[in-house]
Amino acid sequence: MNNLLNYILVAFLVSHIAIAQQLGGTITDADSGMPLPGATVLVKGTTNGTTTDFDGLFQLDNVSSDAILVISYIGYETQEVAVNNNTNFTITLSAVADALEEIVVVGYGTQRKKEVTGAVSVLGAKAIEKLNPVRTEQALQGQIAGVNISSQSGSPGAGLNIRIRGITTNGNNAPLILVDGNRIGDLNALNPNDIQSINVLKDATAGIYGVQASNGVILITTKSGRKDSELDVQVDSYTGFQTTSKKIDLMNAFDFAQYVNDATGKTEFFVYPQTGTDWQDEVFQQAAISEINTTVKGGGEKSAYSIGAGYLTQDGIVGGSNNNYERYNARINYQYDILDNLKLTANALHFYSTKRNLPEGGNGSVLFSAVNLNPNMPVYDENGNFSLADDLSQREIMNPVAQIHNASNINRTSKWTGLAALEYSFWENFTVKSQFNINHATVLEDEFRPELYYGGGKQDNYPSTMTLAGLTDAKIENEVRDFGANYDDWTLDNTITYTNTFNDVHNLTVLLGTSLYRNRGSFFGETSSTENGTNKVGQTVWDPGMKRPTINRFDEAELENGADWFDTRLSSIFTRVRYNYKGRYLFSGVLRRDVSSQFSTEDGRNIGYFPSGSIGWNISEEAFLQNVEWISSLKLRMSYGIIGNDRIDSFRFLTRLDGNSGYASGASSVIFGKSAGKLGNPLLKWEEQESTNLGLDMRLFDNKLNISVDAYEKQTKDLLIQPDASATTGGAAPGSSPPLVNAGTVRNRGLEFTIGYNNSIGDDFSFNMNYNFSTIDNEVLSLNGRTTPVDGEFGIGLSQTGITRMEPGLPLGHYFGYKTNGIYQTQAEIDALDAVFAAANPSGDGIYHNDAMPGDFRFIDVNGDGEITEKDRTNIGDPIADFEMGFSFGFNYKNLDFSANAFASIGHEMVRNYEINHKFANKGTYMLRRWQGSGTSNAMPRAAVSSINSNYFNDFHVEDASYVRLQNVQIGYNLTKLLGENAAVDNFRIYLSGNNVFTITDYKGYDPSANTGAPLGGALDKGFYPIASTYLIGINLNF
Amino acid sequence: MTMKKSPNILFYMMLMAFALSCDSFVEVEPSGPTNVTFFKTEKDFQEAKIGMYSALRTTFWNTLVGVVASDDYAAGGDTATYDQATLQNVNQMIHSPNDGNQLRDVWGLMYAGLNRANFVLENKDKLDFAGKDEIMAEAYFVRAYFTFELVKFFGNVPLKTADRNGVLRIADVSILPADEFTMERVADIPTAYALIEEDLKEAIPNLPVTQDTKYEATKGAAQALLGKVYLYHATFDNTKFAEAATVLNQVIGSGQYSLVTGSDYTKLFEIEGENGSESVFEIQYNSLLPAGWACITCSTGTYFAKFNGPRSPYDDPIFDAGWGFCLPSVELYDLFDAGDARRDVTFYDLRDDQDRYTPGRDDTGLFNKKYLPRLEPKRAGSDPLNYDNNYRAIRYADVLLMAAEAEAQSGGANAEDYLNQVRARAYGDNSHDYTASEGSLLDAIYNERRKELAGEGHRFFDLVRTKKAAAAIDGFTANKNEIFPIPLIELELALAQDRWKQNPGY
Repeated sequence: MNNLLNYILVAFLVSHIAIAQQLGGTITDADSGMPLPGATVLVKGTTNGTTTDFDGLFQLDNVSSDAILVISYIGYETQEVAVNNNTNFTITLSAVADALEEIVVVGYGTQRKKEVTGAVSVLGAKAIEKLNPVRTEQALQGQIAGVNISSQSGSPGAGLNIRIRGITTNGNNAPLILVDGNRIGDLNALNPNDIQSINVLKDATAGIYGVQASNGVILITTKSGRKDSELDVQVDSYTGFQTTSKKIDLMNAFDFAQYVNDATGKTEFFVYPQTGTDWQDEVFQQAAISEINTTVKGGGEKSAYSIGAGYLTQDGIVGGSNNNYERYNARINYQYDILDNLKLTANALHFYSTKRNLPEGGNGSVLFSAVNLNPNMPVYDENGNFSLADDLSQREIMNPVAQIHNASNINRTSKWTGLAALEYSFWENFTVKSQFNINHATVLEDEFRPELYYGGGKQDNYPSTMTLAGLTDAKIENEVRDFGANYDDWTLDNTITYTNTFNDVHNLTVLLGTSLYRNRGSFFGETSSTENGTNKVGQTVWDPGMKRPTINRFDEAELENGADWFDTRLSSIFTRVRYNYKGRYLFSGVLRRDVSSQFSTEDGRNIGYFPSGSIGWNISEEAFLQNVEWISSLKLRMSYGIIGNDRIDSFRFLTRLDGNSGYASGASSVIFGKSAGKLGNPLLKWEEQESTNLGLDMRLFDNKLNISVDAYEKQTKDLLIQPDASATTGGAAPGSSPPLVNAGTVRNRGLEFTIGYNNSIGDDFSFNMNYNFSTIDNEVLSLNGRTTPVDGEFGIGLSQTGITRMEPGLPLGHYFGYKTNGIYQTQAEIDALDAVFAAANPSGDGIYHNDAMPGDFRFIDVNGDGEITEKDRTNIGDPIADFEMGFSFGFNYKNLDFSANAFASIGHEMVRNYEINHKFANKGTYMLRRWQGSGTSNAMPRAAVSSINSNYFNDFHVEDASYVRLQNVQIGYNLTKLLGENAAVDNFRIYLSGNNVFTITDYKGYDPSANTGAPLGGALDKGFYPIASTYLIGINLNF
Repeated sequence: MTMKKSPNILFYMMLMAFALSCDSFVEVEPSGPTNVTFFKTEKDFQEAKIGMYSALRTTFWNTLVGVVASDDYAAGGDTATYDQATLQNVNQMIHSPNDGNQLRDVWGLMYAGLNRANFVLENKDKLDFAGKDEIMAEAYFVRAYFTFELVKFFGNVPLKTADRNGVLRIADVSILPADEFTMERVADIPTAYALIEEDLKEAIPNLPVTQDTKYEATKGAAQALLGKVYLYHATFDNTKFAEAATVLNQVIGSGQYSLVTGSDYTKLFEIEGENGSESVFEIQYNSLLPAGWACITCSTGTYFAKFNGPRSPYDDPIFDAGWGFCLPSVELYDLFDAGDARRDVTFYDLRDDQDRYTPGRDDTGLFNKKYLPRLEPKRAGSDPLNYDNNYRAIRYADVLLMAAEAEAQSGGANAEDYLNQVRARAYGDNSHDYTASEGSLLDAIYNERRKELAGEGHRFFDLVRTKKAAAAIDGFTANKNEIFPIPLIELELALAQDRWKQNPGY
């Protein structure tokens, strides 16, 4: 529109100005060298101007020789060039790194950064590109203050958790993610290469999304084409290898034998083995990774398009190709101007992946086995068969090499997403927009279970009834299971926007919108079998020769009970009013009304109103700062609002009759009845979060130094939780559970600080550095009289349960166990404590600490009752970091570029839950420093095989998992100029990059950044698959 | 671009789309029936009935706890850990309110079954159809069964005794944790037994003498259970012995049941012996559906059997490996004569074969053979949670011995005859009939119960009700261990520390 206005202005003014000279030139992008069509060229101080054409060319008449040209283009730094009698110009414009004119996506619309009043952070395509993430989430870690990413596993294709400003609920903490306005459940489907920008709404301005907003909102814009632009082809590719970032320090065969002898009174090993198996070396390997992406974009007079396709293949550092992940992406973005005032946008995206799964994450997993397996056991027995972990019978610890060999489960995921939007402008100030989004996903899990035997008492033996060799009935059939799910959702958003400026100073934008959302899922599955002898990875029940179905995932009774589907819906109306006076005083107010299918219609409990408001003051616009040169901009902003969360299972306000009610009727049939499933609570309503944010943005020294500071507090009340309930309600019945209730309040507050500096030295050298710092203080404020929700188990498969808790006054998910104070050195020391206790409590049993022995931990009598009991258990750490930091540095020197990113998380604790208390389970080398008699150690307990005091969950098992990680380092070289002017290539860059190059931590487990994502018990480390160190060589090619 | 045109049709379409957004859009019918929409057809009642019976599957926890609580069985388990801490504590009689796991399972699962039975009874007025009385009679029986288990374990448990719609004598199904807990304990244990007796008396008239499907309760089952409840009640009120004798004699007199003899007896606890002539009431299990750890109570098989098996690696053509719990004492073994057919049915003797399995904690070389896991039939799925072994809840031998005891206590004439019937089956002849030289008839009956019902979970409760537990069980504290503690967490969750109070002594 600017361009057209300029044409008109030019035409109007041409006749008034004396002829001086005609000049022309080309305007190009400084970075890519591509021409910039549609850039504005204006003679300074006049209204004489033009815009560049398709090839970035412009011509201007009547320019005096001493004039100055002002060249501007949206998204680029404005440049001034003196004419100085030149008539032909080649002007390059640099893209604005993070300037105030930058457009920020804020939900149902955009806003100039300068006018933003909320805590919104933006990550652009360039930053993402430098990080080379396999998944989009990885690009966010350390880049944006207050956004924490944790990995559920380092396994290829595994999910990542995004947490914005802490843990606000003990239910679902995942933020709402919208890609081009379309809700995406998880980011797996999106190729990071396709992203133009990521905008994170961290505060109450997310309130435009009402009941879905309380975990924060992530708005992603994908790359689109530009009208009137030439065909542009981009090819990005890399290949490389991955290695494990960590091996746990475990005892070797000799030390282990000594330990076992020590623990058992020297009865197990008569000869100390000198060599053994390093099981970690057996399972970890170097693994390949490669990716290629291509994007084609361009545009005509009325249309623009961008088409991308990509392929990734990644092997696992455990299991190699048996743990492979493959991903195919394709997408198209298309825009078309049907009329000057009617624009169509259509996007489509397809994603397909296959993921070969190994047993992961705890009991029975490959790494759990590798860490715990007796190092004296060989990989193969004398006959060349996999040796059996019989000495660890009844424990799910198996020969991990055999487990990898037998791995044959495949997950196939296919997703289609599409959106179509029409935008119509009328009456000068109005725009209506209608957008329809649709998503479909099919997830298939193929499990193939061949005849397996890992040694006595393993659940993974198939058939588990098989006994020792020789007695086995040979007629055993392989089992094949296929489970799947279809998910379909659609959203229809309609908005009408009114924008106007009054008296040149009052800027008003009013938005009114409605949204309908429906999400459905259906589940299916079958089990079949094949004859003995076939062993085909990825076999499905539909393959020829299958005897199917032996078992349906759902029997008829369960289907009738509706076990196979869900349906959630949301109907919303919202409005937003934005007003500013001269861009100086900013105001924004939002009100959203949501009606959710998650709650009962009774008394309107399904209806929620979510108001929020924010104000901003661009102080630098004030007269008193106009002449302060070093302040480029200064803005103070504040927001407050109520937002919600309704993400619970469907129909929890009702008691459905889907309890487990099968009963044997004779030996050959099972009959099905009906009984209460999860108990319903008709009084349920949404969680409500009160969110306050105070922020300050500064740009100093000609925009070279940027500083942002935010302080926030969020209180989430009426938490939707499922606390334990009295079993008199019947909630302990098979397939039943206690009801969800609204109870409890959690508060998160913190500070976020971001500083960035960029500058150039000479023409050839430019650099930038960014640092961010955030603190989180999490506290459960109340539970409305409910019993403390507990979760988590210490010692996998053993019965120390409820070791993580949600309790008022403490962080959500803190660990609950004994505090220790050194080691009992002598029996006399224990006797003395008994004597003191007996004297003070004549009626007691005279024992201060039951079963205490020299070499055991001294537990602290926390409650001061004079003896050690279960009541002395207390808070011994929490999984939430006290503060997090991100640091990045980059420079360009001539054709060379360099970037590095580091992330630090300080003050979160993890539990070494991968250690098994069993005679023949291996131990960490730290136990070489164990107590071996009075005075030998005051930190490590004695060796023992049975249940001793030291094995009760205590602070010895909880470790500080603070870490600093060099996440990415990349060095690139641009070869374009070496290829010469006439090469068909516009841009050709080659780079070397390393991801997760090193991690500094004291944590003994594999990965201090791992977390299952569960608010309670998420950081109980059952042997998290470590994130890989990845080394790549890659190219970026543009022609 | 500015346009001074009147809004066109597209604009109106947009406005209509706005209007689409309405509240009724979100009203989704739930998939499947809810507790409110149910009970519209006879089929609904039938299905709720099956749901109620299926809760009986979970009673094997009670058997497990009952067996290890007795003097004749050790807990067992893994040597390397204090395996299943609650079972170990119960075995040593040092269990406390802090013990969760199995004790809380008994508490929770019995209330779950009670609620399922109430669900049927509470809705009895919603529809009339032929056969409804029988369904209600079965619901009274099942409710009595669960309540009896609760009272046996925990004493005078909280039972809402208000009589709503004439059915809710025992507990209110509709209590939600969101509500205030107003449930009170009944006055005392005898009162609780009286409530159970009322339910059974309600059930007996409308139950048929035989059922086509074996899982359903018969008149005989209800009468036998009533007789059993009377025996427990008689500990507090000895007039109940006579009532027990009356109702148990009705079971015997019905002619529906007989003791299994000879080679059939050796198979009584195998698949072939299920639901036979000796079965008065039996809890049904089979292994047709796979089971998983995700919901261990959802299995339609039992894993009581898995608890009893010798620990793996274990090499045997018939029996499967297990977890090595419920280990019989040698002392118990020695009570049996060589000529007693029950010995080889009760014990699996691996004392000379200890290299064939992995000895666990408290290993005696003896295993609880009545409920051992078997390799056949092959079980669905791979998780060891579903074995076929039906639980013989009330056997005719038990009925005879209960009747003998009731008669002996109330001056009846048949006590000796009933005892001798059981002995004759055990020895295959009448040469072991009771003689006065053995001592009192009552003691002979008690000893016979110990042997006849060994490993079936009755012994501990028999010792308690006959007031012999303190003498027999190491560590047993009188006036305390007769009943188990209410798990502390359950007191807390019901906000009932003050109202219910913990059981005495805990």
